[in-house]
Order: sequence, then C-alpha cells, then structure tokens
Amino acid sequence: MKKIIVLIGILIFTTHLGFAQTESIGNGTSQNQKIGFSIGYYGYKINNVGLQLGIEKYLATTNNFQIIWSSYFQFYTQKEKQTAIALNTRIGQRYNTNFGLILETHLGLGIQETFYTIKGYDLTSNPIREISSKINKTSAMPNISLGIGYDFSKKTKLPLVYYLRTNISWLYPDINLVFNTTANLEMGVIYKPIFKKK
Amino acid sequence: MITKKIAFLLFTFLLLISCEKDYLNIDQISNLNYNGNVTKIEFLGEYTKADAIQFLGLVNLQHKVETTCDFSLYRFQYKTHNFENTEIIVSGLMGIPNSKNIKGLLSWQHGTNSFRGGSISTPSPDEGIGLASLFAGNEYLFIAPDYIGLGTSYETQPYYHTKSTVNSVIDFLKIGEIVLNKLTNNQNNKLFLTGFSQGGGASVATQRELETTNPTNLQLAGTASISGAFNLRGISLQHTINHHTLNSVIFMCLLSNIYAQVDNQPLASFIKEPYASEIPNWFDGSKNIHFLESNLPTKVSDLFKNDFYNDLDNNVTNWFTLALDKNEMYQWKPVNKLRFYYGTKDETVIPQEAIQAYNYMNNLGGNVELKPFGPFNHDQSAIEILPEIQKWFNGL
Repeated sequence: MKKIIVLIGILIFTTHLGFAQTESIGNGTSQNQKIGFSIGYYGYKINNVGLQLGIEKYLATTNNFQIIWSSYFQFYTQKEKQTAIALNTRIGQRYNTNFGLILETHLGLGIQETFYTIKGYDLTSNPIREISSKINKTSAMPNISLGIGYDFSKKTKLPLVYYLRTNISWLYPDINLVFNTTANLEMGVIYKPIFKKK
Repeated sequence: MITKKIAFLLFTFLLLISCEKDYLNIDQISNLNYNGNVTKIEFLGEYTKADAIQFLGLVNLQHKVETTCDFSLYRFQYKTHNFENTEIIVSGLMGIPNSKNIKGLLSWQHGTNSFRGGSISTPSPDEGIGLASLFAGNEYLFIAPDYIGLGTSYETQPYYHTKSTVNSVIDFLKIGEIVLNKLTNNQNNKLFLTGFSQGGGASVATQRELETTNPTNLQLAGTASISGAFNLRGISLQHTINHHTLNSVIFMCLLSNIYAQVDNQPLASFIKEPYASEIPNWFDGSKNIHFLESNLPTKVSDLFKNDFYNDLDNNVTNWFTLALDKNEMYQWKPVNKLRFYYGTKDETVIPQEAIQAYNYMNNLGGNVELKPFGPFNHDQSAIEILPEIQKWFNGL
C-alpha cells in the first residue's frame, strides 16, 4: 500500500515536471500557479513515522498571499499502539515574502480510521504471554496547522516549496470515546507546476 | 543565514522528539516482579497534558488545577481476598505520568456504582480519565481500584463491607508501590488517599488499616475523604430509611445483598417480593441506573418487610444493624493527616457523618481536620472539592 502511494506521488510529480517554468519568479506570487502536489513526512506526536500526500488548489492569489484549498491523504503508525489512515481537507492561506520565506496557516477537517492495538500481558503464564487485541474506530479530526517554509522558485529555477508545519488535531471519538489532542509534525515539499500561458 | 535556520529547526525537531517518551511502557511494567499478585495488564490509552487541560476544563471546575504532564492508562487485574477470605481476581485503573518527577502514589476510591459499564477501569471522562487527568496529569502515580464486584470481577459487590473493600484497595497499593519504586528508583514512597462517598469511607478505613498493620513500605502523607459515610448504623441508616430517594433504596439494596450473604440470611426473610428475588440479578453489575430507576421503589419502606423496616426505624439490634456496627469507619485515632471534606447542602450523605467522625477522632487526639467546603449537594461536592485536594496534596 505504501509503495503504491509513493509511486502515485512520483508519477504526479514527474508528469507535471514538464510544465515547469524554467525561470525564477522573482518578487510577488506567480499568478500562473493553480495547483500544487505535496509529499512529506507526517509525524504523529512528532516522531511516529507517517507519510502524507496532498494536492493544493490555489483559489485566489494576490501579490504576496494565496488562499489554498488542500486535501491530504495521511498515514502513520505508532509502534505497538496504533496505525491510522486519514483524509484531511483544509482551507488555508500562505504568505509569500519576496525573498522566499513563506508563512502559512490551515484549518482542516478530516476523517480518520484508527486501528488500535490493545496490548496486554497475561502474567499467570511463565514466561509472561503477550495478549493483544485490535479495535478500529472511525473518528472526526478537526485540526489547525501553522507552518513556515521556503519557496525555492524565488531565487532558483526549482518550482518547489519546502514546508515545516506544526499541526494540532482533535480526534473524536478515540478508543475510550473521548477526544484525543495531538501535536504533530508535517515536513515535506510542494511541487507547484507553473502552466505556460497560451 | 539559511544554514543557521535549518540548524535551529533541526534542533527544535530533535528537542520535540526527546520530549515524547514513555518513562515506563507496558513491556517494562509487565516485567516487574509483582510476586505473583498481578494476573493481567492491559494498555488502555494515552493522553497529553493538552487533553488533561481540556477534560478538566469541560468539567467546569471552579478552582484552579495544575496539569503538568502526559499520562498513560492501564488496567491491572490482581489478586485479593473476599469476605470469605477466598482469593479472587479484581481489577483497577492505573495512570502513569510521563514524568521523571513523581510526587508519590495516589489512590482514588470511587463512590457508589452498581453498573459494571461504569467501572473506573473502563475509563470515562467523568471518572477514570477525568481523575487521571487531575492526578496522573499532575505527576502522581494514580491508581483506582474497582473494588470486588465491578470491573472484571463478578463477585457480589461487598458494599460497605469494610474488610474486603480495604483488602482490594491495599492489594492494589502494594502493586502501585512496585511501579512507584521503579518510576522513582526507590526515592519516593509517599502515599496519598482520597475518595468520594463510598470511597470517602473506604479511604478512611484504608488509612486505619495502614496505621494498624501496614503491609507496605509506603508513607501515608495524607487522606482526603469527600462526603463519606462512617457511622453506618447511627447516622447513615437512620437518614436513609427516612429519605425517600432512589439513592436511598439503592444504598439499602447493595447493603442487603452483601450483608445477607455474609450473615447467611435469605433476602426473602426481610425484603419484599419481587425485590428479594431480583436484587441479586439487578445488582450483579449488569443493570444501569435507568433500569434501576424504572424498577425500584423510591421509599425504603416499600423495599423491606414491615416488621424489619420498623425494627430498623426504631434502631432495634438485629443481625443487620450489628453488621452496620461492625463496618463503621470512625472509631479510631488517626496518626497521619486526615481531612473530612463535605458539601454543607449534601442530602445524600449528610454533613453529620463527617462532623461526628471528626468530633470522635478529635476527642481521641487524632490528626484530623474538618473542611466544610460550601453549599454543595452530594454530586457537586466532589467536583468542587477535588481542586482543593490537589492543592493540599501538592503542598504535603
């Protein structure tokens, strides 16, 4: 499954590479950028490894701002505790400085399927015996993200944005039917093909 | 410049990674030596400091509380002894703080509950998770026994059967002590006891047992009893039989169910039908409060046979009132700090319970304090008083 996702990401990336503009943008935000494709690390509670693949649609662009609709497929695993997949849709804004630094905020609502492992031990046997069971739960996941990044296309020919986001998610319901707040890390690149004007 | 920024980001990232750490995970907990007294341990979930703040915020606590760390929840199944001194398996909740600075072991004794689904080791925001947020989220190793008859135990609930209730608390304390020693490298053996209603009494009875024959190396720092009942015959019974509420009837059903079993008295000899036949089934943990509300009377006089009810009303000595006498929790002199907290508008467990217990112990020269907390009823009092208890324990 992971391999398929990575392959799709690479396919999208390479397919659109041909449309990339070969000159740097300079000041302001390019008006020719309509969509972006993202691939990155999703760190549940920072260090539990995951992957996120996303697509961004630029709804409005001014000189330094972009209003962004984005949708992410996210996957993570927390060793011996849980594995989850999520579909997360966001609306956000990105401020582009003229020297490449970007600042962004996103507000999202996702749906997550979590596969919990209830790990336990039977201590009556010698040696003690692991007794684990699995429960899965579908949860809503409102979330907010704050991020910084660097737009390489300002100073180079690369149509790439590097981003680093902190994300706060509220998952409800969790395994005990309460909400679970987590601080997560998102780190990756966005490929923003610049379509040539006809 | 960019290199410096990247270096800073990497440093921050590494710092965050180092913060997210289980100080004791289930593998380590399960491999501790419990001397054969633990039969099963299950991981139940983990919550962050941010979760704890929100859970406690939703309860609408009127006073400030501290939350300082993340915590993980586990259900322990362990051995204890019932009223026949038979070894049985019971369960309890343990909340382990993700912190190096453990303040001690804190045991919460829960209030009256006849429904297994509401057992404290089935954590809910109202009790297990909420209390763990307050205490495990504030660096106490938190334990909360289900007592016999709830959680994973299917025995008859020994409601206000002091000895077996205390057994189940102290046997869990012994397990908590082993985990505490591991967490603190044997550097902290402080114990804190607190509980509400039935658990307020159980906490006081546990302190008495610890001060009589302490089977642990724990040092009791303080006990906070919230709205507990201590004089079962002199105050609780007389108040309950004339207080026409569902709570009064549930109280008498739970007492009758266990005392009849302990004293080999058929329920039908003193309880009216259909209740005599149904009480063992209705109080086996399978029926929730809505069921009991629909099926039980609201007057104790409708529950007991007339002669028996009149005897209780006139405080005639019989096997039942003797059992109540035997299970009192106030006729002793506390050495360690004991505080009686109560709401002055409590009509379920009346303030006289705390006042009389305090007066009795104080006259003996006991280390007791009386803490009327304000015009709160029974259920309100726990929510209002808990922040004060956290503050008191933090100062001990």
